[in-house]
Amino acid sequence: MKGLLLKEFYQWLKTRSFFTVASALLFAVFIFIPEEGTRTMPTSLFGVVFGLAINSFILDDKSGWNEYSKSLPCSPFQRVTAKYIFFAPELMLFCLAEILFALIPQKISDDFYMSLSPLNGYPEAIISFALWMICISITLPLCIHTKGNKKYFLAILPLFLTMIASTFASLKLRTSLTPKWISQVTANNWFYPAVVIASVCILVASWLISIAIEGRGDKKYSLKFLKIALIPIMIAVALSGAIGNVIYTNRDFIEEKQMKDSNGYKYIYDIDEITEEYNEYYSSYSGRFSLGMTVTECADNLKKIGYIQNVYSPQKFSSESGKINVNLTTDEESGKVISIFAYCNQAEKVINNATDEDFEEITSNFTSGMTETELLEKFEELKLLPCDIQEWYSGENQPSRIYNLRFSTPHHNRKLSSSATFKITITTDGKTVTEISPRLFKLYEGEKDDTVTPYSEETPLEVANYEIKAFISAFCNERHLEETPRECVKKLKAIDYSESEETDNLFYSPNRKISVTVAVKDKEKIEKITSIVNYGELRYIESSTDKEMDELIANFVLGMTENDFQQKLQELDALPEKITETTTEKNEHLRSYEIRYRIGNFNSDGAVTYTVTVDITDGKLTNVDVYCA
Amino acid sequence: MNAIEIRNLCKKYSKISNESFKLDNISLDLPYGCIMGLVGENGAGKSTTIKLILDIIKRDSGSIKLFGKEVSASSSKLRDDVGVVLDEPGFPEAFNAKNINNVMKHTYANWDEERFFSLLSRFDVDKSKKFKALSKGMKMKVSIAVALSHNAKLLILDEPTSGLDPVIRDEIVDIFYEFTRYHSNSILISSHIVSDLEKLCDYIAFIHKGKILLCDEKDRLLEKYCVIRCSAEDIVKINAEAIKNKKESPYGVEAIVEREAVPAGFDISPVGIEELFVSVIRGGK
Repeated sequence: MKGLLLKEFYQWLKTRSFFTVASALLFAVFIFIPEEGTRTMPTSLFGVVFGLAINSFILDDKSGWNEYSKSLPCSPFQRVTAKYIFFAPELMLFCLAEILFALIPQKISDDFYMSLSPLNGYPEAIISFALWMICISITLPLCIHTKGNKKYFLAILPLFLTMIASTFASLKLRTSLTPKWISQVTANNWFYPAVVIASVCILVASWLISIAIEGRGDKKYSLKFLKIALIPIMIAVALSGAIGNVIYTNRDFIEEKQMKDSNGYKYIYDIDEITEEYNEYYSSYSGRFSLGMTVTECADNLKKIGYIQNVYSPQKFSSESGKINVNLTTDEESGKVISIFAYCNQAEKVINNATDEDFEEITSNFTSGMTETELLEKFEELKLLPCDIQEWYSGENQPSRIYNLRFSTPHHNRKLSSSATFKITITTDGKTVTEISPRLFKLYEGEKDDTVTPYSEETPLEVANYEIKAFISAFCNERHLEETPRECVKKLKAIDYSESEETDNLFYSPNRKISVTVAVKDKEKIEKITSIVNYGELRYIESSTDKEMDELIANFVLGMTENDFQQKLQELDALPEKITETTTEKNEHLRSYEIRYRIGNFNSDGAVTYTVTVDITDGKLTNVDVYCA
Repeated sequence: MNAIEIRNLCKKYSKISNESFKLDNISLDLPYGCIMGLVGENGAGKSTTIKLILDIIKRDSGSIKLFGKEVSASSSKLRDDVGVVLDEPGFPEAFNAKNINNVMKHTYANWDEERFFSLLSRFDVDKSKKFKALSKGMKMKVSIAVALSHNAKLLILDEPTSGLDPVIRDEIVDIFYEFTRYHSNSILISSHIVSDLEKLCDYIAFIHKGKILLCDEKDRLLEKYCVIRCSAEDIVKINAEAIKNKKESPYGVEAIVEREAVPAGFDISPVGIEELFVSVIRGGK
């Protein structure tokens, strides 16, 4: 058998170019796109192992070794075992690489990610390991059965594709597994060892079955190995049953819960779980703001209450269940946190057949002047949870905290004709409530009309507003046109913008409410930066006269600085829909802000839209245009 | 005692290989110290018989014994004493002779590294050249060198001289001859080149369409049959059953007949194995 192993080794050495190229590609993927690289790593590594196995059998078939080896003084047991032994260390090597890849990001981020459970790295490795074992366990007997004959490999192709698909499916599952689920499942100390032992048993069974296949001409010989194979098969079945049972009993942690409270209100979230997490989040405030802290200080506070820092985006955190997410925005120069945005997409209360009066009644529970502690008590009393909580500087270093509550009726499927979304925005200064602004987004009171996109769907206005403000503060106080595209991309990424998958000059804000287009003149300079607010929300004024519009425009005075202009925008709660940067013919730096107002009924044919364009040339307001459509 | 004993060997190819070939009830004995030549047309069943003996393919029925022991999946040790050359040398294409030596050194219990390299030198094979870069003849030489380098007691050779030039063929035939004469070893060899077999073999087996038509000692066959040349009128004096084959021409008749059946006075000359083979096959048809 030593000779057979040597033959496999020489063959691998002689064809290592395949292995080298595949490994180099994988490594490149991991280096250049770490997050995606880590996700695709198990599948890709599996592909390499699979490729090596197939390649070895095809080469054997091509050279006639399959036949010749049977004339050598080696039993079917030795011939098959040599193949398995040769692949086993390879498999182990890849498993080791996989575990390292899973752990490396954690180690890099050790400085600010101390509380990360090492378990976060292992499920990926264990799932991959189990998948490889199963796939290799199926592939090797098939290869031995078909003798590497190419036409039979066509029959294996669907199986191969199925395996790849199942690998992706399991990875998808893995990404959707919550830390809670993982901790629940792995609370059984035997879970991971059971997965590993079951996988090894499957491989051992596959080995014994392969020997039986190889020696099938001799019935006694084959039967002997088939009988022995029953032992690992039975162990694997028993362990798989136990593993399946644990997964089945904990399935609730994967599924989204729909619950009803005593008033018949429906929640699209598990209120107890999220309440607990929100309470922890509130308690971390204790009336103070985290603004002005460094990311590390803020991270420490959040970690104390069990929040997990994103390995790849250290400014992002998530609660234990993964349902509450926290994003920090920092000032580029000082590195201090200038806004904290915590949101829970599932925190929307659904009230069947609610009327305007119901919403008014809910709103009446909150009054200006009540303390923040009272506000939180009221939330608890009414079993309300904010869909987002924001902290940011509203004026001259004046911190504010905003709680947004979201309700919908009749249920969360807002495509139905009579549905409406109701929102209450409660602003505090950290001690008392300073402002309450309820908003009712009624959609259609008449016939159902599926062709029109509901007004408020995908429109958490505050998210968009918050992101525009973040963009303005990060990006509208200096010239960028002289920068290289690389510098500009770096800045965008610093405020959490991500690149579009379709084109390389389009970027999206974290919640994809804003898209930024970077037009490049040549490789050295940026020609234009266009920021487009993507959410379709306009300043809406129920009824207005031209005089009122003139008064509005009068706020924008020629010669005012860009900084003053931005403050004025905030005062007026008027945020631009589009910001464009260009260079004029006189080589001046021009930044144009487009603000749009819609007057009249949203769905009326007679609606009027005003577009106010404000030009800031070299930091001074030089022009205001009004266009009425 | 026989080195190879085959009894009632049958093998039918399934339809999946798109062939309707059947090896029908073959029985053979190869005594120790002898060389048996397996002669047959393409597709007659020579390679199938050899692969069945080596257990490369599975037989449907019958028994095969090597050195008196039944061949099966668990009898791999027997192959330590068997040198094999298949019609397609089965070494990995990326290997060179040194790699092959290393693999075989750890495969055969009695591997003789010195003999392997000396044979390669004798055959003018470049030891560092990759197997795929060698010509067909060179590949066959490597294969023969492997078969002769582990002190085997039996050589099973499937078309070993095909692709070789006459000089090397002659040398290899001499090597095979030495192999049996000095060590009481045995050889089963199949070949199209009947002249080589005639020079080498003690026994000849004619195989046609999966059946053994004739199997006997070469000398006995040559003794038993002869070629006669006579007129068309004279040939009728010979028992028709004794005539294996005849060729008629305006100048007379040439026939291969059993020597015993030829009356006195006929012009008799010895028959060659190739002539006998052709006549037997034609008779079989």
